[in-house]
Amino acid sequence: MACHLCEVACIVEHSKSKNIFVAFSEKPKVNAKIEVQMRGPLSFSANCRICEHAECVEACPVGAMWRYEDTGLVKVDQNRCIGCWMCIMACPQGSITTRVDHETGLRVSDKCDLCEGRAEGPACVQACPNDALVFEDRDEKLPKETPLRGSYHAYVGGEDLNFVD
Amino acid sequence: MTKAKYLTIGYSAGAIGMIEAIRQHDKTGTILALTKEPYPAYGRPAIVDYAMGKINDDGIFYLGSSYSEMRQVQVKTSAEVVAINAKSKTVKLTSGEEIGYEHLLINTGGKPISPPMPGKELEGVMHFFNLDEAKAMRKQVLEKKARKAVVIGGGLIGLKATEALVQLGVQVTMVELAPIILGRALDSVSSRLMAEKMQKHGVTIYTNTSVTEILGDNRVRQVKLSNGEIIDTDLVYISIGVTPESKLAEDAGITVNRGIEVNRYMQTNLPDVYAAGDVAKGYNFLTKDNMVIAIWPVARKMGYFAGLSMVGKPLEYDGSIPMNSLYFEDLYTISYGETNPQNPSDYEIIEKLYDDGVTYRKFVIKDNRLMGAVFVNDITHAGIVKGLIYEDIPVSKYKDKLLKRDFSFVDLPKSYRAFVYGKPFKELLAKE
Repeated sequence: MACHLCEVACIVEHSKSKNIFVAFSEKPKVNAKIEVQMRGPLSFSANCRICEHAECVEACPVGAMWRYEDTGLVKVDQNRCIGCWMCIMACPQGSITTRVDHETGLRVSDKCDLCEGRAEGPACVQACPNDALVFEDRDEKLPKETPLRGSYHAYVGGEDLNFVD
Repeated sequence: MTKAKYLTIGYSAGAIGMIEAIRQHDKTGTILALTKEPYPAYGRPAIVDYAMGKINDDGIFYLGSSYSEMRQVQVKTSAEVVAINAKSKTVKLTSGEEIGYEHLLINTGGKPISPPMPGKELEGVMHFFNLDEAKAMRKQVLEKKARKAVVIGGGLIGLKATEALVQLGVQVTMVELAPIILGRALDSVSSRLMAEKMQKHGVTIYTNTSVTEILGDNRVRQVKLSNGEIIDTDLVYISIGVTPESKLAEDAGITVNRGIEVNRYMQTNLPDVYAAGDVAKGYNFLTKDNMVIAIWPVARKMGYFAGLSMVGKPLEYDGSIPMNSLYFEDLYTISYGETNPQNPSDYEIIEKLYDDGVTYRKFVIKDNRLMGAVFVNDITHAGIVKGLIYEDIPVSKYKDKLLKRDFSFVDLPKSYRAFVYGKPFKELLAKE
């Protein structure tokens, strides 16, 4: 419903102050890693879905973007990241952003980390008043778990892309 | 004789991909990486950051040099292979030592093209291609007080050399033969925007010009341009192109044709010998032919498929496309596929330069498919376009939305959103 509470929750959770009044003006700048995309009446909350075969990890030349085996999380180590944006180039969801702060000289990639270590789980899911955001543990085989392209056409089983909004 | 189950000649993106695939399925088979450089795997695209002092040894080595131990890879550095014997399944080093293998990966990458040029043997004339050369740049500037540099070649490597030099406080002149710089990745508009940004930072750029002679005494002092001008300089970087380092393969009887020929399983024509990365010609699914795409993510993906083949879980490589993330200071560009077609009339081209004069987007379309795209300044969501290219989504579904400044998933078919966000298709069908 385009309330953007998920974005607010994300920023507060990732800030140092954890205070909604301070988080937005903190230095270096804290971005939301989830984004509410809108067109007319349609809104869609988009963020990283921690692909099994992570093209961002494939693209990173220094190993800053990495899939941690213990948690299964794909995260960017912002101390190692050189801000080359190859992960941004590689991510087919476009869910990695630049985190640039000219004052502090910060220039790194930024991405959802599923609020690792947060007891209540992802802050955005908790904040969503509509339960539009759902945090699920899925075992079934889903697309984007293979390094191959062309999974979309397999997914729709050759049907035409006729779902009009 | 040392013997490894999996042996790689070269330890860069391709080898890393191979190792990732192998270790997913074989935790114990010995992996030995041979590299002729004195370093374990490092991020070659990051040598610019190393040269400008932004990162140090811990920052440039892949995963801070913990990678080899993590994946149980034995490494021999400063170990140059001089011959491959596919019959005896051994390789020979310069030291004379022979190493045996069950599966071999050739990940020798590329090497800078060094044209015949009077004066190129003078001190101060260099390439900018590996970590040692990044260290040499720092030494020339910080110790030998180099203040001016000429970068020959306005391509991807020339751009990196220029950025490092500018950050080090060196006055740079870039000399490019073509009418535009960065022509292999960018089109004329995006190239102009990059050139203007560089010029704002004090870089002098010559196009349609070449360097005809390098002049000096015990070291370089000047270059002479094709237009007759003579430019004083302390350093010259030759960055006119890269060619596959394929001699080893050729000598061993492997089919080479401006790159090592491999099939969709990364196999060469010799049994148990694979190739991946900048030395090998992988499938380009847009142009439907095999070519060297010398980009880290592509090399890594090829290596991954080579590893899958080696470990008995072969998957047919479905291809990649040329793509680049090029930037100068805080002007970023991302480009995919064909951005500058030679025959524009064969394509439909959608482009827009936005009001700020520096944000630009261009899409190259043919037969209802995206063949290429360029983003300048605002690179948010550029990857979505990569996904659309990779998933072969007909452009007609979203063509009129592409130039919206906030183009995103809401502009795409619902079924594509569901696919990307992992909603089982039958759930989606049930709702309709």
